[in-house]
Amino acid sequence: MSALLEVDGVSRRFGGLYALRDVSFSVGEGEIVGLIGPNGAGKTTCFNVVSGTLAPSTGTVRFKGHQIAGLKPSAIVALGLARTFQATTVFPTATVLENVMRGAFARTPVSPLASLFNTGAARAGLAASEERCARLLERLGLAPFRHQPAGELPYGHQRRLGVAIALAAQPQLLMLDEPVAGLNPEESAEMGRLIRDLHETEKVTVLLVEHHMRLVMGICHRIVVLDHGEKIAEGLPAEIRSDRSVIEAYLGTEEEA
Amino acid sequence: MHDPRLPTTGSGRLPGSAAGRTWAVRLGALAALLAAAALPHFVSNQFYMHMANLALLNAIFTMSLGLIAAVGQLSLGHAAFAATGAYISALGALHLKLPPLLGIAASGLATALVAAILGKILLRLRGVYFVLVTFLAGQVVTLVALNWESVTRGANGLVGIPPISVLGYSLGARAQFYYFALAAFVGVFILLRALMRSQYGRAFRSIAENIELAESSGIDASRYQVIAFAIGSGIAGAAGAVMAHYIRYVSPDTFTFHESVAYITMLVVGGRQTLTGAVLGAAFLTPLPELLRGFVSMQHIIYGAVLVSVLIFLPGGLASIGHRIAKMTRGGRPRP
Repeated sequence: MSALLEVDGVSRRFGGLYALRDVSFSVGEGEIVGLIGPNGAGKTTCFNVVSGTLAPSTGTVRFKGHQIAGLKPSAIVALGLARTFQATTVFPTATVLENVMRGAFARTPVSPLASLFNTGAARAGLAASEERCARLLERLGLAPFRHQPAGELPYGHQRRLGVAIALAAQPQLLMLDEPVAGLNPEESAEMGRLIRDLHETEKVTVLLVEHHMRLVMGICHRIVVLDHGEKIAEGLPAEIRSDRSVIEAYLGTEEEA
Repeated sequence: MHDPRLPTTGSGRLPGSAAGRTWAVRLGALAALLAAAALPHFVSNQFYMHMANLALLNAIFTMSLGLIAAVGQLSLGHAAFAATGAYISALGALHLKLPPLLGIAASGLATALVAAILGKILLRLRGVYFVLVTFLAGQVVTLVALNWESVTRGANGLVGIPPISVLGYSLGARAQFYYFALAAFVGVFILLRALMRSQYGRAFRSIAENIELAESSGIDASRYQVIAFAIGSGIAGAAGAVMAHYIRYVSPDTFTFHESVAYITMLVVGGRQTLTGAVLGAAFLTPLPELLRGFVSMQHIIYGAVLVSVLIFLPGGLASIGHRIAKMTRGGRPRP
């Protein structure tokens, strides 16, 4: 199994504080990897560094062999790595379909200049892209809402639309930042099924940050645990569940407790 | 005139009523254009012609400011680009005998280039910080025009700027200039409409609505913001040059902070979501102070009251009147 994403010795300082310290892990093609840890462990910082929102202070991030640390998010998306955000992140006043069309921007084979002159090729390219986006909406059960403004959708649907926007970029690696935060148990279970489904049908590799242990243990092939910005464990779900340092990180040591 | 937010693709799949509306809009635009073209034949009053010319130029300034606003940035230095363009073309005509049309084109390109370079640096700032820096940039331009006396003649300004001439035919008279301004207005309108309906427009709206999500959707936010700022400022520069050749005079007072604020007011009052809004704002606010001249002492108060009431009762601007009326006549029934 070749590594799709390699995070190597990444540190990120905010002033004198290390949010991440010498973190290394990799994600192989076709895996679902979970990134977990207590609050403030540096999961989201790690996510932001990989997706280009933050530059690492030191260390390298390679995606498909390309060095991507410090690139703009838009350039990283073009390489095939897309992410979702923790909070609801959609374009609230645009329609659901338009939201996904925007997500497909990097994969729309139309040069902006051609679309300015509205050439036949540009129209055909946009129509093909719209077709693909409509299919994606159908796939995620959002098709009935395609002409509604995204901001009017119920919360659970907006979360799913966030995934749709990321998928529209046709990523090889999909990064999900707390995909079930704020969802009720049924919605969470549904999102879990969806992730597993997409992983199988779209052949997409998944890296997810999540607090919801049942989801993580249920769908991840491998888990990386961060605490205080450092990697404290890595392994199969069963190994992580019984790992002493992980239990301590979450529950405290016996003396403290 | 179109709502540029409508999806651009799959026009064949628009619902029937929307297709009908498209035709109604096209006919309306054609009728408006014909009426505008016939205007000089019915208006003999030179002052009204002057107002019409200013309204057309203001519409160009406001539409180009709207383009910058479309990426979520508010420029308080729009008039400074107009001033820069005006001085470039005026100096070219006075010292190098540059034909005005060439000067106008050169002004547009030069201001667009300046804006692209400035934008590359300034557009890292967002919100109030960007507003503040563009305000300062505007003040710097005014100060340079005032103090670089050897070139700009300081507060006296440049006089005797030649009028625009097309194929040896001078457009010095107001009625003749009107056709030039109308053609320029239509050209800018069509360009910006095409821009907003293209992938550029999609990128601009994405950035305005959620810059982080736009960036992680593969839209290079800084690149598209620079593009919008350069095109918008370039149009302002060219239009500033047109103004200089129309009023045949340019001074540090021609384009000041007050003009920048006026364009923003026109944009907001007209409605900043659509190009039509910018046009309505300019058409409404350009002549308004003159119409109120009869009430001398109350002029500014009434002007202010009109602005405030538009903002209160039509938060979407004048361009939203149609929607408002449609909503009321439908009596709150859901949209078909």
